[in-house]
Amino acid sequence: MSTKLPVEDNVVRYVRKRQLRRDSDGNVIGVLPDAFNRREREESFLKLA
Amino acid sequence: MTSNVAMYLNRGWRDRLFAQLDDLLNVEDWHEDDEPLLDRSFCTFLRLILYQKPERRPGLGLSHRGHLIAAWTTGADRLTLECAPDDTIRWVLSCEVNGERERAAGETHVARLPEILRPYGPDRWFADVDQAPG
Repeated sequence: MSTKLPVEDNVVRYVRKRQLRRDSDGNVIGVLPDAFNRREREESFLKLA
Repeated sequence: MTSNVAMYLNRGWRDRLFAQLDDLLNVEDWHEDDEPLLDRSFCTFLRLILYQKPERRPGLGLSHRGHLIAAWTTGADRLTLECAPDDTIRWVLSCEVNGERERAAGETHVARLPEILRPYGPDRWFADVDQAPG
């Protein structure tokens, strides 16, 4: 059974417009999997709040 | 490039697709380390549309490598296709099959994609009589 992340463990990552999941009318409905891929120059994509 | 296949897409479908691309590639939302859309990725995307003939337009995104991403979402059922160069498609899906949630991913040639998606009932994503491409 899944549980929610505790508040102190929440992680925020900035998602670029190009990596937003949209419907065919352009409405934002989520985030594309590519937003969670680490880029070559990144040591980590997680930034702790 | 698009002019070679434009006759297979109806005017409304094509115009809306170009509007989606213009919005996606808007320079005001560009970051200095963003890769531009690769021509060879767009070529794969056009072949995807011709082979798969989706009636519903996809939502569009762009990978950090400059690959066009086409996504269809119906409720909780999601299909995401990354158009890589040389007619390569990286696909990820999550959908309900016989009451069970099924997730799958892979990489294939664009011409084989219809066969790969067939067991998952792709009309759940592609069928929409109001948005027929041609």
